[in-house]
Amino acid sequence: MSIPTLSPDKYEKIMNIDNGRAELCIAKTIAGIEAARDKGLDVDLNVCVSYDIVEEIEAFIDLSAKYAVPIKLFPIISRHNQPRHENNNYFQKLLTHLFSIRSPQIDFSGRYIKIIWEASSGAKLIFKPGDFENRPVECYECAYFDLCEESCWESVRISPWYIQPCGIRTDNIYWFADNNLQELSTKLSGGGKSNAAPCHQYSLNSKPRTRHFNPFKKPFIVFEGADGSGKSHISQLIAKELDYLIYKTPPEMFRNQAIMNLIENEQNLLARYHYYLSAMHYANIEVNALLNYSGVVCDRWIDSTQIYHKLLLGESMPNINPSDWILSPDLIIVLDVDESTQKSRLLERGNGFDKIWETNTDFQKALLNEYGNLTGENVVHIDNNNAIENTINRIKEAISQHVFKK
Amino acid sequence: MRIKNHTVWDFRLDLLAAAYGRFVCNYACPYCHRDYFVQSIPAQIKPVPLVEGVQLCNQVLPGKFSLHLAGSGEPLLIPYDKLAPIVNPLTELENCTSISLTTNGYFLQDKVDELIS
Repeated sequence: MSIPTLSPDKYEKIMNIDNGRAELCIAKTIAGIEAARDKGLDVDLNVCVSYDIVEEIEAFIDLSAKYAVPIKLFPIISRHNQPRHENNNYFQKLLTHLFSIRSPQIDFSGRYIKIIWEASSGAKLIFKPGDFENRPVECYECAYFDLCEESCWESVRISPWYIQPCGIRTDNIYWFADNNLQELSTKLSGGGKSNAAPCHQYSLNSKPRTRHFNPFKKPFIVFEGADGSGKSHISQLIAKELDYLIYKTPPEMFRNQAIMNLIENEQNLLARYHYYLSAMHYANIEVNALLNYSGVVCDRWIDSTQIYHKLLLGESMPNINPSDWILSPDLIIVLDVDESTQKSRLLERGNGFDKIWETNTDFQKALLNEYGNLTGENVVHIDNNNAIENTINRIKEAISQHVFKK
Repeated sequence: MRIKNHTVWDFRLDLLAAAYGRFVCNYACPYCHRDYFVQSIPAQIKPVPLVEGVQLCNQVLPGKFSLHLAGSGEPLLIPYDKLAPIVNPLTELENCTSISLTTNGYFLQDKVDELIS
């Protein structure tokens, strides 16, 4: 079932219907949910976010809990080659809101990744970060077809006249008049139902695809720097400015204090490294999925994991090359600070998760040095010793130059 | 065939086209993607019952499948006497594990008993 809003005023505007009819339509839909649930039928409620529904999300959560109905959130799907729908800013606003109020669970069990916000009341909001907005003309052009709801491995459209092997491709229709099973088999393969060309090149077992394969992916900007360099604060400001999602590593579900107590000592540094790599594997999948929908600003990425553990483990550092599997950001902004600025910033904040190394002066000095030496095609260094306005302006220039003028 | 991770095929049926041969809906949602199915059908092509399309697909994609009734509009606008001959044969297919339906919900309260029957 589907409903775009629970507010009659918004319903009238979205559906362009007469005054007064909205309340009836909403009531009918809810009565339908109730009747179906009473008869023991499973119901999913699709909410295509075409208006600002942040304020009513609690009402949706209550509805989900009351009838034990999962709610699936969607942006507006544009026609092929049409620009992103302007009202999809509302969808991005809703996602940002949901991420800010609660950490989601990520379900990897099915073909499609699901991001799930589940409340203790039983309410469930689900977002599948497939590439809804920009449907490629043919699946083999799409690096993320395995996340695509419209295609590809399992789904087939059947009408009275034809079979459409892939929901995206319109060049691959099997007409019943063709009356040729071999032809149908070939077309089903070409629609992604087998390893036959051209889809074989995107085997799920192959290395994760990097974003440059997908022209529709949104920008991925990472802030790196030593402790106290200002990453957290500045990354939030930039995310807000760009209207991007903010992400932080290690992700929330890896910020487990009990595990950190076990591994945060000199005897278990190797375990610590592998734990952080696990966290980055998880973050990699999550960010990859989110980038299908929104730009992402990230507070620390793989370079922090590597730099920290290079210093902690020294020669015992295992020979692992995460660049084989991790997403390469469009831009890595390293915030450089000198020792005195760093010290005063660290004093201003208390110890928390992962902060036992902050009090080790030698370690912090070495960190500053390592981050100072971080280089790469996508790396820029910004001095953050002075007024924050200067830093922000220089970051904006860097983003404009390295991300948007690419 | 790439069916290593396959559990159940998902066959999506254009129920409205089977009943009326065209898009029929009581709403005009701005987010409706009517291109869910191909809209322009060559005049010389004759329609076949949906159940035959499912059986044909199942020959090439063997194994269990679920059926999703959706397509060009609101399926609950189809009256029972027109719906039953389309849907009943589908419920008898051996490999069918479940049948679901996409609706805007407007008529569901009144039609839920019909659907179950």
